[in-house]
Formats: sequence, C-alpha cells, structure tokens
Amino acid sequence: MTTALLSILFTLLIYQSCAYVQRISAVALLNPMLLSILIIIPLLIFGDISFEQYNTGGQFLSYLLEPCVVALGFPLYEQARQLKKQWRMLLAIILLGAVVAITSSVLFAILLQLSQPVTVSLALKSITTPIALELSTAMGGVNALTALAIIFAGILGAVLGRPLLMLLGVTNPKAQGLAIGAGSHALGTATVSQISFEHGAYSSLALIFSAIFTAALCPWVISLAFA
Amino acid sequence: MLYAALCISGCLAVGKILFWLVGGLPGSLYGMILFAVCLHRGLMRAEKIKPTIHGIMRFMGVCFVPAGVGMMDHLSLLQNSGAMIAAIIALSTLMVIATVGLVAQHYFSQSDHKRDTN
Repeated sequence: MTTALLSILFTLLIYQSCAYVQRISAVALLNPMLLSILIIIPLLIFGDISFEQYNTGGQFLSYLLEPCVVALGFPLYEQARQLKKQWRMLLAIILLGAVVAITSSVLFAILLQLSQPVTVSLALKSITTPIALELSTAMGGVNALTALAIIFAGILGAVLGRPLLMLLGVTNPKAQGLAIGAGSHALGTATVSQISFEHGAYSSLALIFSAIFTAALCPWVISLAFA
Repeated sequence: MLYAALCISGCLAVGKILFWLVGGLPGSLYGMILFAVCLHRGLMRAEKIKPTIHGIMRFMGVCFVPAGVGMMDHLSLLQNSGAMIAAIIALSTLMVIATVGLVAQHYFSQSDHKRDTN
C-alpha cells in the first residue's frame, strides 16, 4: 500500500516538473510524458526497484485511461458541428489516413520480420494514447512500446509535418490540419493549434475520427496479416 | 465536477455493457460516442461539463506514464530492433501526413473554387 502511494506521488511529482519545464521552454521535443518516462526508468533501475513494484501504484493511473477515452467525447461533440455538408468527404479522407497508417506499418513490420505484438504496437502509433493503449491491451500489443511509438510519431509530425506539407505544396490550412491530426494525433494537434483556429479544428477532427476508424480496422488487418 | 464525473462514468458503464453484449470496439469507445451523442442531443449540459473536461485534457498525460515506464521490461527489444522500429514509425507517419495532406489539398482547392464561382 505504501509502495503504491509512493509510486503514484513520485510519478505525479516528476510529471508536474516536466510539464513545467515544457511550459517555460515551449519545445515540442520536451514532451512531459516522454521526459517523465526517461527520468523514471533510470531512477527505478538505479534504485533496484522492479517495474512490478512500481506498477502496484502505477496501475491506478492506468485505470484512469477508460474515463479519459470517454472524456474525448467532448471534443468529438464540439467537432461534429464542423462537419456539416462536407462530412462524407472529410470522413473519407480521414479513413484513407487511417488505412495508410495501419497498412504501411504492418507491411514494413512484416518485411522486417518483427513479431506480432510489436506489429500491433506500431499499427496503433498514429492515434491518441488512451484509445491506443486500450486497443493495444485488447489486441495483445506491447503496451509500453505502443506508448513510446505514439510519442515518437507525435513529435515527428509536430516538428517535421508542416515543413513536409509546404514542400509538397499543401498550403490550405484545413488540409494541413487534417494531415497533422491524422499522422500525429494530440501532439501534432497541440502544435498546429497555435498557428490558427482552422488548423486546430481540422486537426482534432482527424485526431478523433482516425482513432475510431483505427479501432474498427486494426484488429481486422492484424488478423489478416498473421493468419 | 460531480455532474461531469457522473456523466462520464454513466457513459462508460453503458459502453461496457454494450461491449459485453455485442463486442467490437472497446467499451470506453462506445462510452465516448455515447457521451458525444448525449451532449449533441442536449441530454447532458455541455457548459456544465466543459471546465472539468479542460482539466482532464491538461493532466491526461500523467495516466500514460506508467504504461511507458513498462518499457524497462523490454529494453532488449529496443536494443535488438529499436532502429528498425524507429524507421518504420518515421516513414509511416510521414506517409500518412503526405497522403492526407495532398488528397485534402486537392479536395479543398476544388470545393473552395466551386464556392467562389457560384
């Protein structure tokens, strides 16, 4: 019990400090989730504490994932009003993004002969963490790898996404928002939201719907690929 | 705060029952869709829930930390295939951004053009 409480307090304290560091520095790379993980792992190894011991408390934070997913219904409700007449085409574009995200990572993973759990984790990298972790658990992925893959995809898109789009001649703010949201979920959305409201709105639209499409498609693709 | 907690846990409970009955998506995803529908229909009052949601969004990240710390049990995986994994993530992410960006740009330039000429 004491171990559990201590590890929760320890995690909250480190996360808060990292969030503070990012707020004052405003650098996407200093993601508080990533920083906390990179600080906690060496500390545990150094202190000879196993993940199992740490997770007696950590699991309580993981339990909160489910209500977090439900809470995402709020931005979904706010974005649904955006859809209006264009909904068919917008959803089709986001669906295309989810298909590219899943099939490309599964294909590369099979070509490089990675195991099924690793492939599952990689296929979930483009969607928002709470939903991805739920799917990862359900589909037998490596949850830790899923979490890290998501952060990596997020930071990559937040940093390189817009320069790549500019290079390809994609200048429309709605198109840029959709693209970054589809590839880099919440991290990308937070970054492009600073450019314009339109960027942010279309990015979060892509963020929410790619997660729903991925939840529906991914189990299918994985069972086909590893049949 | 209490109202928001009640709405969220109510939707989660119904979502879990739905998963138990029909399967498919995880229960929390059914809960999320149900939550959005209830807000849209005015069954739950959005302005009362909004402040709590903002709080949740700000601190959600800490809930993912223990899952990531679990990587310490898989360090050999990173040692053996970390480079491949990173390459796949990078390539696939850039492919998604490029594809969605190009298709959306094409679509919006057409639809905006149509609106301008009408």
